Amino acid sequence: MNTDHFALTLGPCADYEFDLVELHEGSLEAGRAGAVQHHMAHCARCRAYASALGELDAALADALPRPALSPDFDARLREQIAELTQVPDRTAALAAAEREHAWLLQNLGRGLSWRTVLNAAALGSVVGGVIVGLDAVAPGLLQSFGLVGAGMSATLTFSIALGAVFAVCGAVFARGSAGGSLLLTD
Amino acid sequence: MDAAIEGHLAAGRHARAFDLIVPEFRNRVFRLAFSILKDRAAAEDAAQETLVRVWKALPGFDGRAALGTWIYAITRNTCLMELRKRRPTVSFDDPDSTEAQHAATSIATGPADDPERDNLLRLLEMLPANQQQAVRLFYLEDRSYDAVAEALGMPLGTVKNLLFRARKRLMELAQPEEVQAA
Ligand SMILES: [Zn+2]
Repeated sequence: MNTDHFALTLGPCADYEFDLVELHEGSLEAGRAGAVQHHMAHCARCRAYASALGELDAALADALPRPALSPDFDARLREQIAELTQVPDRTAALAAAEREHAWLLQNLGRGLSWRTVLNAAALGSVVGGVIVGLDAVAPGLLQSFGLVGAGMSATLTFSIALGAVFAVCGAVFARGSAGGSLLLTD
Repeated sequence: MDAAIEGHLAAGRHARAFDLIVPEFRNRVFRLAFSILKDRAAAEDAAQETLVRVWKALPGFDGRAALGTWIYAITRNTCLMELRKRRPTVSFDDPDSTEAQHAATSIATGPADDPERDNLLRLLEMLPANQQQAVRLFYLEDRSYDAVAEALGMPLGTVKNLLFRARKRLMELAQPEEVQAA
């Protein structure tokens, strides 16, 4: 260390401190550089500052890390770019879309079949209620039209009819679940 | 800007332009990121992310700003977002903070057991973040004020002033304690 630390504590002359940096870096215009050097010959403070500046500059250049990129930097970047530009495989995308479509149809079909079953049950109940009601109001009327078998009550006929409706709807729903929708077509 | 890059961009050949941009800018982007993040691996990730963003945004580059100016702005934004992610532990003003300690350990990648070097790096950590960054970048860019000004998006005079104040402060801090106290 050649720096005069006491002179350094006083700092450089205000008129010269920027010039001292430029002189050190070699960017000071020649005429001004001569004047600054002349001043330094007589000024311990500016000499100390210039000396400390040189030491600091060398120490920083030496101390600061100068990291380099990894050798695989370009390869990694190419991978990232390729992922962004990749067109999805058409066959795989088509297969996935078809699976999604089938799943959707199956679930839609199942929902509609359930609705069909419930609607049929409701309709059966209403028709049954009318039959039972008519039998109570005018016994023998239904038999005279041949709607109820001889010796059978209207309630028994209604129960048999309702059972038949449920059996048909059950069969329709079972087909809908197993093989896709009966209600929607491609 | 390189004439070939400019030509490809003008003709809408963005992929060809990008192929020339990467070798031209990857190291400069990396050095700028390192001066901000102070960590080699983080700087490399930021450089990757920056160039991916450049690739995505290149079709929208209208040439109003210089290409370098535009790429460095993306680099600085990418690094700032990375710093924001670290925010809970970041305090550049507090040399005892986790971040400062992390930075001190991450930059100690040179020759081991050099107390003078370690001391200088510790003093550098005590400067305001913008002065530290200017100093790091100045030496990474082989003492080019122009390169630092372009990378930081600052006027040349501002960069010279930042570096002047940073070195002055470092000289004050580096003085032996008995002299400082005098
Ligand atoms: Zn003087």
